Amino acid sequence: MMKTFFLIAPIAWRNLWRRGTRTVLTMVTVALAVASMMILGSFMRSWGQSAFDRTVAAMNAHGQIHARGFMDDPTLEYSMPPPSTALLQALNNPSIKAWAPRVVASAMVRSERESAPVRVYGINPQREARLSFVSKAVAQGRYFTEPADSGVLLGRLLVDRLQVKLGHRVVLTAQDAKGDIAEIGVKVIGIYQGQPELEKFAVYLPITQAQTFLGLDRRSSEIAYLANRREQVSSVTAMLRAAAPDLDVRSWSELQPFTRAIIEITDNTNAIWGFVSFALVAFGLVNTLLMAVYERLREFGLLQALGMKPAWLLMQIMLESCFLVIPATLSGAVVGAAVILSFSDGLNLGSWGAGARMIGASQVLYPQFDLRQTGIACAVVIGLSILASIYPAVRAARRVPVDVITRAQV
Amino acid sequence: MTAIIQCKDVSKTYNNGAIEVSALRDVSLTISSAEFVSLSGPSGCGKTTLLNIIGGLDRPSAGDVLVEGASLNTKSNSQLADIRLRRIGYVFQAYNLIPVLSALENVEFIMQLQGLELKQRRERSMAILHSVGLDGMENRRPAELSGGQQQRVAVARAIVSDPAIVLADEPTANLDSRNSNELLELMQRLNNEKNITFVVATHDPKVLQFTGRHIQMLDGQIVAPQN
Amino acid sequence: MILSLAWRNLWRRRRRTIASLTAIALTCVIVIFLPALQSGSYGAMIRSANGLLDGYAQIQRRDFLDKPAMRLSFSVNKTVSSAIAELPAGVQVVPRDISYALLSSRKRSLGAQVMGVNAELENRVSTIPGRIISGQYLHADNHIVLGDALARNLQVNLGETVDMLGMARDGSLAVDVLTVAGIFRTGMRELDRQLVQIKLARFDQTFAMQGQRHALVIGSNTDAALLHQAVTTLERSLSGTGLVVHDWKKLQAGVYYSIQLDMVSGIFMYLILIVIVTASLLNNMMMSAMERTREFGMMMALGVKPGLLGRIVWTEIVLMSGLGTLLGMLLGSAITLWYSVNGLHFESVQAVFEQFGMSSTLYPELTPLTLLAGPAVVAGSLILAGLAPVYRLFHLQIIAAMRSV
Repeated sequence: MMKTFFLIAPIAWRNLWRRGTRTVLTMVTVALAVASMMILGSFMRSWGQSAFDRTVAAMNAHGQIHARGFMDDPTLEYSMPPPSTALLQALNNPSIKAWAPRVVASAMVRSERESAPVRVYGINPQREARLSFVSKAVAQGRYFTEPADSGVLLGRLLVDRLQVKLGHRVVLTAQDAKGDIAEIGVKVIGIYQGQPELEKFAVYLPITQAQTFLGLDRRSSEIAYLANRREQVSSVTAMLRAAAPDLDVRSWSELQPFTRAIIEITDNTNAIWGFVSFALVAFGLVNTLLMAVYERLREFGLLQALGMKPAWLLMQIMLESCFLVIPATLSGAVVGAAVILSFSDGLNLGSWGAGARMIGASQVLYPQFDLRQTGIACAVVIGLSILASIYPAVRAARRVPVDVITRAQV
Repeated sequence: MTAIIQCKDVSKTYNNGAIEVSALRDVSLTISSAEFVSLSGPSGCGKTTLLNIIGGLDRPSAGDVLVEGASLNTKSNSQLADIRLRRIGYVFQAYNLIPVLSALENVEFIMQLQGLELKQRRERSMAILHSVGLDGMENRRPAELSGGQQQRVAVARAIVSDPAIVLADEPTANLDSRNSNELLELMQRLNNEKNITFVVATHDPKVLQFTGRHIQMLDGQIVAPQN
Repeated sequence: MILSLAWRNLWRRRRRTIASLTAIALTCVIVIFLPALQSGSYGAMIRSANGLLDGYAQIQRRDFLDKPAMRLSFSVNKTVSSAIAELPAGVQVVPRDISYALLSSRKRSLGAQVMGVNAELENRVSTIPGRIISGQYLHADNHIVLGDALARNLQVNLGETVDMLGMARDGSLAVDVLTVAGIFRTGMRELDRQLVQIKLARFDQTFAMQGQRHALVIGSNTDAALLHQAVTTLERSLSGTGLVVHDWKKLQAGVYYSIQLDMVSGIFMYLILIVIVTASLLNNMMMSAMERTREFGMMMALGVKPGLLGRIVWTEIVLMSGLGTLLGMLLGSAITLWYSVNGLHFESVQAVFEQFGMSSTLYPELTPLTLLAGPAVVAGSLILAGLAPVYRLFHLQIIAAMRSV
């Protein structure tokens, strides 16, 4: 068997180059399709991934736990006591990377000159640091040191609007847990930036201060959690649900249908593009192979007359297809990888950034080179191409009528 | 008898990569009008090469060919094409006809290229097809005609515009003996009745029975009759 | 003659020609339908984004868009009024004031964006008056309308009162009590959860505006060309006054740029598609010519010049490209027209469309551009690629050709 292979393989290879232009053209289309699938795929994936990452970092995490009724009426009426032993045990499971309790309330912030509506997040600084972006986003001043710290963190855009500076005081007004209007004056100890949407309305207090201000004792509005890997989110969510049947546990895909939709769109676009571009390439490929077979019918007849088995002819054609497709696919993959890696500093969407944020992407897209995905795509292309070559190969191996073989030449 | 074709010391050498092949060596030859000439010899003797050069399909490495007194060496490719269109008729061994045109259209094709009007073309084509005995076959495509019939259409096309000479390269090689005979009889008849000059390259000895003049070639030279 | 020869030559290899025609037609369908879908959805996005609340353009103080501070107001003085009077008939301009306040019902307090509007004129530029789902729009002086999510969260019903606590223009407290006249639903979360509207006069009083305005909104429900002209005229008339005219591309920057992004990535994909198809078909064309080398050699032997031969082959290519493109356009326009009437449903990605205030049904828009642009490029690139096999003919050697298999 191997001997036959080594006999036929060089013939198959040389046969490809009898019609050099044709072979090159076909290889170019395959390479182009593969490269475009890779490049598009990686940008789409990075878009989906960045939408996901932004959502997670922007206070959403992988999932959240609330008291029942909170989702419909997100007020302090639906607050939770500190986690039960069962829940605590579940939360400390190694598959959960981080978790943090939070107080969430609607309020108004007032400076000397302006006022604005805000959402107050009372956070546990150390826990929150592993969960969201705030701890790394403080550009001026400082972050909180402990839950019992005091002061407020405002976003840069809000600070501009309120016309305050670091060290100034602002007044927060909100409805507390008993339903009365509560007010608190706080000093601006830090200014954060990097999340334009959040900057406009999210203010942060240390959780103990927030609980006192809002009359919550040790209750909280939500617990946010992060699984170790995105793939583990649903199992982690299920585990937490089982540990706290009286609470409302939801993962990000339920909480953020927008992000989920983006990821669906990007995945679907990839799939459709892959299908369409490959269908066209397959069309060209089968065509090329059929032509290659038809024009050599006499030659195949001759070979059969000389004693070559039809099965070997079949193998020869399929080998020709392999030798055509495999180098083309690999070069397409290399080109695709080169393009992707050339954007390792990210594709800055420039002035399109505003639009990009609206559809979930960030200002800078980092296309990812996923070796596994690339490998799978290449394998699929090669596999399908070999499949496509079966029909022409079968035609080649059929018995060729004698008069075709002996047709005289000038 | 006017000289239609004059070959003067025609030589042709091919460079086949590293090897030089001498296909023709100092061939000199005159063909006059209304002659029916055969060029015969074994494979590789140079008869096809000579025919190609006479017809302007190829250029000699040395020497010259005069067609109706005009030297081919001085003609550009475009002018050679014109000469082939108007003054020389061709019949090949196979693949003579344009597959997508009917017999009638194949014959008309030459005249279309020459710019003749529809009515004229039609009349002449029908007449020619009649004279080669293909009445009723005008609208058939080559695939629907037998080998012998295809060759007759080829002859019809070759003579339809009154060429100075008709060159035939192994016209009977693909035909059985009955069809061969019919074709050769046709050519003989045309030569007698219409004084059309034919030069037939062949290795079929049967052809020699029909031709008036025999030229034998070997290894690129004419060996008989001695000139 | 050339035409007839070329046409018949096309059909010698029936299956191959049909396969090629199919590939061309399908590619054309794709480059008609998808751009039409894009174009239709952009139109819907822009219309709904503009028609909802922001209008086609707004006149504001220079920095107001980025920092909507109370004191960045302006008076509608003679310059401004005459600039507006100059605008072509049909262009609607309405005044607005904007601020923030804490709203309290009996049970709850929440922050909200308060918008002072001219209740009679507002429906000329915004669809909110038409989106009242219970009660009615602003009528009496002390009326307020709220988004439905806000009303629900405040747990307030029609006829009940809400207390409003905010900051006036001069820095003093702005306090008022208003009666809920109506509840609206836009489908956009931010608006339904945060927007309330009260009468302009009331706003002026409560927030001490002293007749000044924050914005003049130019409505989008007239001819786009007219509006564009209006904006240009306004920019000229208002230069030097400290007022600017922001058109929707600034007001809805997100919409604008996401449209651009989508267009560019679309074009990228279509081009690659066309290149792949052209390369595949080029292969076909070259092979087709090569198969007939012997025949071409024979024709040249008969006296046909390479130029004529080239024209024959070229005509075949043009015929095939043209026929395929035509079929593609017929099929593509049929499909697009059908969906332009019946709509394309996208259930699962509802959430994205909500963001733009659109329904999850898209209607492709068949315009001369979407119908012709794509197929023109397809046909053009095929015909251009067809030059290659034609070029080869010019270098055909007669004898070698006739000897080929």
